[in-house]
Amino acid sequence: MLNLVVATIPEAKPIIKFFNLKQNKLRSEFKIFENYQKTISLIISGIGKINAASAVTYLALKSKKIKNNIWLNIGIAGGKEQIGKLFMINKSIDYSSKKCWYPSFCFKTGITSKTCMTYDIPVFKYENCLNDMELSGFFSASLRFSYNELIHSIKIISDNEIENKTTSDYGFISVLIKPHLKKIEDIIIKLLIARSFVYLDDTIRNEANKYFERNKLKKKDEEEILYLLYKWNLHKKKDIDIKYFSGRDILNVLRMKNCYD
Amino acid sequence: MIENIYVEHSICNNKNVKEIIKKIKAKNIIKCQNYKEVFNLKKQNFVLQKKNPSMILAQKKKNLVLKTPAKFNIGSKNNYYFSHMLNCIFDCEYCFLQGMYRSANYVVFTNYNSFKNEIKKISELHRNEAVHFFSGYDCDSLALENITNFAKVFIPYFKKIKNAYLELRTKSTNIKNILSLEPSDNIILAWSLSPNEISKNYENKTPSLKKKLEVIKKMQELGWKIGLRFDPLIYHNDFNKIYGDFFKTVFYELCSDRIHSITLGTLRLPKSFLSTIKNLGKASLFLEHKFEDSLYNYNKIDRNKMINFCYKQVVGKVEKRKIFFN
Repeated sequence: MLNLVVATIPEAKPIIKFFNLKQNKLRSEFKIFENYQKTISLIISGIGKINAASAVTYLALKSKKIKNNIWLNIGIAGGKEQIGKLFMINKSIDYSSKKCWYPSFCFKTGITSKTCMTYDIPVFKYENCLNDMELSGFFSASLRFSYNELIHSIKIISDNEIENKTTSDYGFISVLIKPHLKKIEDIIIKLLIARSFVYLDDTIRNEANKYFERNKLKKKDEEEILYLLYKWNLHKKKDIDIKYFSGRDILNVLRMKNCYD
Repeated sequence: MIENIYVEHSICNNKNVKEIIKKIKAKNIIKCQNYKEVFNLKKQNFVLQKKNPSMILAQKKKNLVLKTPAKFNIGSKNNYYFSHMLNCIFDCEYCFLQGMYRSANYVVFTNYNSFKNEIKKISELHRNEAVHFFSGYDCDSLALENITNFAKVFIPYFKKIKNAYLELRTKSTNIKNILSLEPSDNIILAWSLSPNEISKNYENKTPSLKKKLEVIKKMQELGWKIGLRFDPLIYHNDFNKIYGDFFKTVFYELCSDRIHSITLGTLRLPKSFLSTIKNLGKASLFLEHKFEDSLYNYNKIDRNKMINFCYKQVVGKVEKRKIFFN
C-alpha cells in the first residue's frame, strides 16, 4: 500500500489527476482518494501537525492488516530557495518540542534534500531549513506503523523572502506541484521497490522473480523491468501478464506501454 | 558512493571531520546532536539500509577500549578490542553485526586521540607484559581506509608503545595507506579467509580469494607480520574437499614461515542476535545450529570434525604454538 498524506486539496489536485484517483464516497472524517485497485490512498489531512498525525493514524487503522506500508507526505513549504523548487526532507524538526526525525534513504533519489522545521503557526522567516506546519506530526505518527526507510516527505517551495503571501492562491499551489509529478512518481516507484524487499507478499516482485528465474537477464535489465512493472502498475488500466513473454521482450513491451498507454 | 553524511553538531568544524567530508563528496550533510539519534532508531530496517548506507561521523565517549571475550586471543593473556567504526561495507550473510545493530549505516568515530589515550593507559597498566589490541570486531579495519586513515594514524602510534600489539583484522585488499609505512614487529595484519565456494555464496562484495592472497603475499614480502583467520568455518556438503583444496592454495601461495598466527573457529552467533537475523530473513546459515554455552553453534560432533580437519591441514605448515581456536 502507498499512502499519500497531503494537507490541502490544491496541493493534492494534480496528484489525484496524475494517478487517476477517485474519492472514496463512504462517510469518512477525512477526504480520501483511491485508485481502482485500492493500492494507493491519498488523504487530505488539513493544515497543522495534529491534523497530519490524525490523518496518518486514521489511514493506518483503516488498512491495519497490511504492514510496512509506504508513507509519503507531499506538500508546500517556505524556504530561502526559488519558488517551485523541489526537495526531499532529510531531517524534520518540531519547533516547539525540538524533537528530530531523520528519514533514511535506501536508494539514490537524485533530488537535493533539506531540513524542515515544523511550526504551530504560519511563519514567514526564512533560514537554512524549510518551514511547514505538518511534517513533525506526519513523521511521529507514521513511524508507529512502518519502517523509517519507507517514510518520506517531498516539499515544494511556495513562499520565500520575496514572495510570501501566495498560499491562499489555490490555483498557484497546484501549478507549483504539477511540474514535479514525474519526479514524485520516480520516488514512489523506488519506494515500492524498496518495500518489496521487506513485504514478502508483494505480487509484482514475486512474479518478476519467477520471470527472472526462467529467463537469465543482465542485472541492469532486471532492474529496469522491475521499475517499469511498478510504474505500469501505478497507472494501469489492465494487467500485463509477464509469464507470456520471454527474455528481453518484456522490456520492450513495458517501455512502449509506459510511454504510450 | 555515499550520498548522505550525518555529523554530530559538536565535531562539525574538526579538521579530520572536514577531511572525511571532502573525500566523500556527499550530496547531503545532515547535522545531529548525537549519532545514536540516527543509529539507534527503533523502526529501521537493516536490509533496506544496506542497499544505500549513509555515513555518520561521531565521537565515541565511553567504552572506547574493551576487554575481548575469553577465547579471543593470539597468545597474550591481556586482550582488548576497539572500534573506530561500526558496521562494514561488505555484506556477509552470517555477519553478527546485522543482529547487533538496528542500522546498517557506517559510524566513524573521529576522536582518534581519545582512543590513543585509552590504549596508552591500558598499556601502562600492563607495562611488564604484552598487551594485544584488536581492531576489526565491529567493522572491517581496512575497508574504508582511504576515507578514515585509521591504519595510517594507528600503526605509527603503536610503534611507539613497546608492550602493545595491534591486530588489524580485515577482508579487504585496501592496503594503499599501509604500503607507505614501515613494517613493525608489533603490528599484525590479519586476513579472514574462506574458500571461493563459501565466499561467493555468503560473503557478498568481498574481494576474491585470489586477490586477497596476492595482497597478503605482497605484505609478507615487505616484512609485515601476517595473521590468517579461518573463521568462520562454514559447513558444506563437500566440506573436506573444498576446505582441503582451499588450504592447499593458501599454503602454496604464502610463505608459511612468515605467518604470525592462525585462528580456527566455526560459524557461531550469540543467542540474542538470532531472532533479529531471522526477522531480516537472513538466518538460513543458522538453521542447523544448536544453542550451547550462550551461543548458537553447530552440534559438538560436527564442530569437532570441522575443526580437527582444518587443524590437520594447517598444523604441518605452521608451528602448533601459532594456532589458536575460537
